[in-house]
Amino acid sequence: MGIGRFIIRTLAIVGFATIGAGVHALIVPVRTGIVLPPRAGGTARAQENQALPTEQTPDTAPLNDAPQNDAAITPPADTDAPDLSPSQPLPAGAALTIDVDALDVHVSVPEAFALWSEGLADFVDTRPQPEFEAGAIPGAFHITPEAIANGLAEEQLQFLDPTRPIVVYCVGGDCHESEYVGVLLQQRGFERVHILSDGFPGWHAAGHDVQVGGGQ
Amino acid sequence: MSTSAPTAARRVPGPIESTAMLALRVLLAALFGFAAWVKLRDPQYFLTSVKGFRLIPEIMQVQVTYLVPWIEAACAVLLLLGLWTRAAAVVLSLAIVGFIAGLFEVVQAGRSVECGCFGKFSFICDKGPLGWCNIAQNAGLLICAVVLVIRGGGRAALDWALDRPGHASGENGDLPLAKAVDPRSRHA
Repeated sequence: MGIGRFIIRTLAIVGFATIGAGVHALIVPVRTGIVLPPRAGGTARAQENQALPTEQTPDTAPLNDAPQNDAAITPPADTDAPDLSPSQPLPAGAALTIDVDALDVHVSVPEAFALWSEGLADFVDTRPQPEFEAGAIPGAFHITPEAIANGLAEEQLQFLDPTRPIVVYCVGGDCHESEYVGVLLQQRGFERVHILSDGFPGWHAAGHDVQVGGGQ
Repeated sequence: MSTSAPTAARRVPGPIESTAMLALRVLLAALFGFAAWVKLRDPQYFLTSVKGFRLIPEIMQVQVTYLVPWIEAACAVLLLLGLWTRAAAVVLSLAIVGFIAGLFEVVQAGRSVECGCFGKFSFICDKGPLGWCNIAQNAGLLICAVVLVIRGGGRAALDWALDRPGHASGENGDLPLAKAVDPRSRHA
């Protein structure tokens, strides 16, 4: 008797929660992740191995001895996937190639560097303000999850082009912020959202330029 | 213990025990109520946490995202009221055991995962990658819940008020070790 009623009550709690969860899912649906639009088949190709996007130059500061603006990308001739290692410098003026449409949701540091150096994408830093000011990818917009969820990032979002790829990053690993912000960006009409898998630590470790002091 | 009556009389918790049980109920209700609120308010963020654990099959991630906070909310309300206390504490204990198992797996694997336990907030343990602190925190909560399973909600609970002779079924959903006997009859 006692155990029977106890079990019934336990199941009733779970049942109530299940009903609540079902109704909640209907009222507030979630997106299961970032979904890229179907591949258009186009290949974005940079014209020159030029330095940085124009607005990103002044505040940049290299943090180590890795090669800087002349770090380039050499697409191997016999494979579809280019070797995007930044450690392989090309002579100045050599062309860079990256197929933007072929990128996965998660991009590697070399892929992100190619997008950045060719000015093919906007970058969004989702880390807290102190970390952003301590060092960020040059030219990155600072949009935290809290800001975008609470509608405080509208001004920043106006500067983002919905037609351009956006690379979102946080501290790498399984940090939530980048995917969360990426999903919210897609909900706001930004189609091509990518996540930098290794985050800023991966970028920094690769020896790429870092912007100190915050920016956008 | 006052359960030495020959008829397996229901133990009457004293004022200190009742106060302690009330404190445990309020503590668990506050923590899990808050945890449920932040998850219910922003299920999208909690989904990223669920996915980050990489322990739940993809097909079940959305269901878990909605179900966990509703279980937490239901248990929090029941614990706060002291209604169906033992049943709520059991459900919560099972949930916490699941949390600990997941945390243990992540920490053992050395993966850098952030806890979505309290949304973007954190208590006791620093916000950041999961660690042993989070496991210890959940173990503490598990102990609190198990104590409630064993001892019940105390006298400052609806269970106790509804479990008087001529008022209810006489067992308030408790485990059979707590058979109801009118406490006043023991002194008659």
